[in-house]
Amino acid sequence: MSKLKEFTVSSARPLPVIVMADISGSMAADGKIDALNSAVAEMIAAFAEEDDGRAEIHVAVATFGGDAALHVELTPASGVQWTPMKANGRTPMGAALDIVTDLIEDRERVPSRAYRPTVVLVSDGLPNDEWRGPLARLLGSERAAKAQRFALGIGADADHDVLRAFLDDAEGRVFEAHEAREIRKFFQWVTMSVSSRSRSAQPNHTVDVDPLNLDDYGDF
Amino acid sequence: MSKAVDIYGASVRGPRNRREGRANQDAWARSSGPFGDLVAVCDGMGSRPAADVGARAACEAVKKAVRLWPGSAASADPTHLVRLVETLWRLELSPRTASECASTCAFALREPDGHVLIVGLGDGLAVVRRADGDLLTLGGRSSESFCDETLALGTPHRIDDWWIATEPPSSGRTLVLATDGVADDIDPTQLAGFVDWLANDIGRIAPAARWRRLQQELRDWPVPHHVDDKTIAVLREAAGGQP
Repeated sequence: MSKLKEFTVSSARPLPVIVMADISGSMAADGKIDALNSAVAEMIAAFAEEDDGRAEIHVAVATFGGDAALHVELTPASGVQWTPMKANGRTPMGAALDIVTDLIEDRERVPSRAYRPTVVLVSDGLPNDEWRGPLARLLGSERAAKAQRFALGIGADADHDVLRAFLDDAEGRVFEAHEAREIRKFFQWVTMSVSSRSRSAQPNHTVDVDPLNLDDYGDF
Repeated sequence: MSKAVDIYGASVRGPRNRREGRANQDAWARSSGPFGDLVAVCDGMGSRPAADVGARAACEAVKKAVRLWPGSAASADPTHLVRLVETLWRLELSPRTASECASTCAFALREPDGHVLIVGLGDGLAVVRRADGDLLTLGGRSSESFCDETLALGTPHRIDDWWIATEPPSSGRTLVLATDGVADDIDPTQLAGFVDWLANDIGRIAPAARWRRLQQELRDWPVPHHVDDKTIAVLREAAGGQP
């Protein structure tokens, strides 16, 4: 065996995917939290089976409902032990933004040899804490600002201005889910997008998976 | 080449370029003459259509530049050497544009009096292992970036984006240059062992067999899912071998 193995890292380059999930009390209505749980679990399972990529997909899930917390620490998808999230309390999105910025800025957890992270924000309401400062911190940070960002608004009460501010991209699109099954559809699209990046010659570049054609990938 | 110095290296296409039938986008070069002993590694940016041309041109530009430069022993400013490299690289490329040939560039020049000048732009890595065991590291991945993000010849940059260091005359040093396909995968805690392996295990092999061995080591790179081209170049001084 080559001696080089002693001097090199043992893992592939990580491609981090960070889900920011609104699990406030309102998500308990209309099966939204159940749909979100199964959609995220399905996405993680798909990433875990992704073995022909140029990268190893790592997943973290930051939740905001009552408190903000890391429900799943950044881990290779194949090692995630998924436990369903529970809807509860108000919507401290600002605190969750800080958790995500701290995570991406931490060179131990997201090393410089990683590919650019993807951050997925899902919310069905208005933040009830101070979120502008934490969002400005994320968008002004050295590394978190470079993350590829997706946003999904669930139901009529989602604050699209906040989600648009999170994207910080005039051409960025806030996706909408009017019913629970569309949450799954969105995460199937995220899965396609990230998997395409992982398999592409240039995983740091965004791969266009046309969201308008998402029905091609869905099963309904 | 000075009898006090041994220079060797290898460069291989990574799995991505092998699979896609593309040329190696890394290049390396060595040269010796009245200016001293030179070693260079350059890494063409994979997203550019003529990255391989850019990397080879960067090596040629460095070889020409050191012949024109009077040397730090004459108190010349190393930034003049950098400017020469930038200009000669563009001339080498012509009629191609700098943008389509973007390439990182790292080189080390050991001057006849034993001074070593280490210069680079981008994410290539330079490591000096001094005779007393100290380790000097230059370049590599910047802490605010992710992989495949780099400054390079042919991308917007300033003269002070180049990293420049001068080592005083000495002996028994090993200097390693590597492109990011190698540097990103080296465990930082094992860097000294890696340099010592290149100097003491690989360095003791006869030149023809050494090149084949190093090529094979790079082709059999042990990191899962690695994709990049890989290049290593070594300049090793004999112990007590000051000219």
